[in-house]
Amino acid sequence: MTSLLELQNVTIQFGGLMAVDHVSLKVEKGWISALIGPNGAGKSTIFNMISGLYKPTSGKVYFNGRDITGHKAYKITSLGIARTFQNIRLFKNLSVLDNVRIGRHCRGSSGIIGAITHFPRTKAEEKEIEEKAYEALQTVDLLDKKDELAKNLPYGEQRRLEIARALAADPVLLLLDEPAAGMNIQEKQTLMHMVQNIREMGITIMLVEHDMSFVMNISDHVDVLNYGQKIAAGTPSEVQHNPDVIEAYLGKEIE
Amino acid sequence: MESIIGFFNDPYINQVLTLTGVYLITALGLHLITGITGQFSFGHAGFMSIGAYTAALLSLHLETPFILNVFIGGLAAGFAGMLLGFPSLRLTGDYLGITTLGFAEIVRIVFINMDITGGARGLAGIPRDTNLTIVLLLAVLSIMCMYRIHNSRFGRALTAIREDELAAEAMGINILLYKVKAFATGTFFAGIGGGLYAHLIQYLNPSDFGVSRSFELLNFVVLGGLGSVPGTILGTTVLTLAPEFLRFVKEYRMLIYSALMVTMMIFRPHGLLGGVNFRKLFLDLVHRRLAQLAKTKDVGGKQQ
Repeated sequence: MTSLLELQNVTIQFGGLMAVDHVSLKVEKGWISALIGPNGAGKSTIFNMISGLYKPTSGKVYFNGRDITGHKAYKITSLGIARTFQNIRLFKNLSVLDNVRIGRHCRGSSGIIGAITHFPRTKAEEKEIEEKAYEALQTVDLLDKKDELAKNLPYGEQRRLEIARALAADPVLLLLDEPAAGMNIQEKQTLMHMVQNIREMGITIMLVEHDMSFVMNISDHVDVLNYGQKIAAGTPSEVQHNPDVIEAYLGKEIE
Repeated sequence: MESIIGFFNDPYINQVLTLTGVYLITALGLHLITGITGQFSFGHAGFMSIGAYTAALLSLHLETPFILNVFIGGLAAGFAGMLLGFPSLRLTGDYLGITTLGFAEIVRIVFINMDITGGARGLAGIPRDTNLTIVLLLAVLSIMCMYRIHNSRFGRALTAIREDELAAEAMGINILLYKVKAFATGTFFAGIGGGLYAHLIQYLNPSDFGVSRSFELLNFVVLGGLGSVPGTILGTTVLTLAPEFLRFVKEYRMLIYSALMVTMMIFRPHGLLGGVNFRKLFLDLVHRRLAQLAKTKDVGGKQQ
């Protein structure tokens, strides 16, 4: 059986800097898989390569057994990989609902002719977009804020809106880039439940996160990066007791 | 009633209003490119001239129906927009602006040097087929198109590109393709405007479609408020009518223009109606009224 997502010896170089160095990892269907590591370890860079924003210097990315290395980002989204961004990138001046509707873009087909003529087919599609958007907003508990401008939401809700926008694309794999960053403990708890609910909807989740209790509580599998290299992988408890991981985070013990 | 009909029948008033309508249609095209999609075009007049010459030449040489000629003029301009769009919309910001500016200049110089367009002497004798009724009808139709585009999957994709290109691409939007589509549609409207202009003024000269005309069109869109249809209508009307009212200052017109622009940038950087959401304003008003009513009722109840 092929993994849902597989990275084989993926490498990316920015000038002389080896940001990601021959990393191989797998994400199986149904997992909540976490990618952790100190700042600058290359976690977000890996996300950018999976979602097509960066093209790897070498190595392959397989999604559902299909080679998607170097595909354009908009194409990868329509294949079923949706993502959120570490530094929130909402469409700030648009309403919450519009943000999520745009997230649904890759599942629609009507263009400019449909827009002007308002054919029944376009109307039906608009209705479907709206229903899906409502559903996604419901999942992250933002439905009552649908008419607000995205920029007016508090920080934690902006992060949840990003998740709703990604969910609207009906993804198979959802990439969450530091979803809990900047949230307080209660917000993190709510988020954790939401992520678990999303997994129950049949969506596989891969996340980058710095908050260790969040990662350890929620993940089935953890990959650890340091300086662009993969140093460990396994279940949360395995990783926690791995001497290399402890060294990367806390430094070496003096003998 | 008599006096109203008389007012619109006055040739001067009629001419000015028709011209305003023609500019409005052209400006709505630019509104789609700059206001909605966020791509700066400094060469909109160039596309207007392509539409104008195409329609005028068809009328003069083939004598096909006027409306058809205007439509073909629009298509020609839209096609030119598409051809320019594919290579140049990969550029962003200033670079795109410079490219469109250069393109409009090239168009102008080509028209000066062509025989069929009458070169620098201009093209005269175009039949006067444009009238206020047709222009108003087309303007209303264009406004409707803009609203429908704005509330559609297509329009939302364009706004997403304006707001954040990277995020838009991550949402599955093919950025370049959508930019080109917006550009081609916008330049189509410019071509329509051009065709109407030709059959209104009855004389075309390449120098009518120079840089200053392009910037004038951009002013229409920016003054009213980028991204707002009511803003574009307001901007076009004010800036087309202002010179008529300011006839006594003639050559100082541009001076007032620039003073107006600078004042605007200071006090309303997003344009007169920029960021004004009419639907929300209306709903807020209704809510406030209702709340007030409920309050007075409450107070009344307590008093009893």
